[in-house]
Amino acid sequence: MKHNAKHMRIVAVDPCLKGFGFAVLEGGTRLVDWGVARVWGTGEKEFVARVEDLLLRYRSKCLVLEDLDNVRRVSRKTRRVRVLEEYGKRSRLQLLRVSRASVRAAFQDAGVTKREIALAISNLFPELEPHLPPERKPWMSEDERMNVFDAVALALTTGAS
Amino acid sequence: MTHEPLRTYLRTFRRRTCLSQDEVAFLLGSMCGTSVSRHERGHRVPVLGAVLGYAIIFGANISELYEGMLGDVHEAMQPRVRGLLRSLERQAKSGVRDRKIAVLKKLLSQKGKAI
Repeated sequence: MKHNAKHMRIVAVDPCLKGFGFAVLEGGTRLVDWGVARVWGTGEKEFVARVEDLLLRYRSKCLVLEDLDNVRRVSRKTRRVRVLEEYGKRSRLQLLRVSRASVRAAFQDAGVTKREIALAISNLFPELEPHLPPERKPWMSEDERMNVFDAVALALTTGAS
Repeated sequence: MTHEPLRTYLRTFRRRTCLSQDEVAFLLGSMCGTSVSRHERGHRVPVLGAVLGYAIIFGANISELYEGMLGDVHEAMQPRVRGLLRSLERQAKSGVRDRKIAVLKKLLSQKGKAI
């Protein structure tokens, strides 16, 4: 069978407090899968196992993560991104790191806020429209579904660059 | 990096409809979503009735739902097509033989687009 870039799949992961948001993009334009995976344990072993399962299921060797090198605050997200980077190096995955600034630059026509970028993504992939969280008010914490849009944004930015 | 299509895109098409595995199973006349999960993961190959059901529910062609599997079947068929072609070319010329050869040559050139 002839294999081409049309079927090249990348898995973007955006860790959050309860687990991680993910997006699987094929050929840079086709959204194959997306969602929020919940990881209940506080340890990183289960978290890495879930990401590994995702990579195996979609037979992908390319993992996209947010570039947090310039982030000074060490949160659970930062820690988990580092763990995934270690895992990626160990497993000889192609690791692509995308900074928040690159995402903003890729979506500069849509806007700069996460909400504006999420709206642009839902226009691009209408299947994500029902998953778009309501507009966040100052007293609300971020909806976990936003991590899906963040993961898609990371994957799309990789394709754009 | 893997550049092969997935064996099945059932999950992608189901997620686009926002239907749950249980709901799809109900539409297919099955008892629970476990069978749908097995079909989506490629652990089981559905029966023809279920494949047609998926195609109807998702409004997609079977070749779109089973892109990878279609490629595998087509690839596995190629040596047999070439073998039959060689044996036909050794036979005496006739209209039927020429027609068969044309069909086989078309099979060699295309990539499972007939479904």
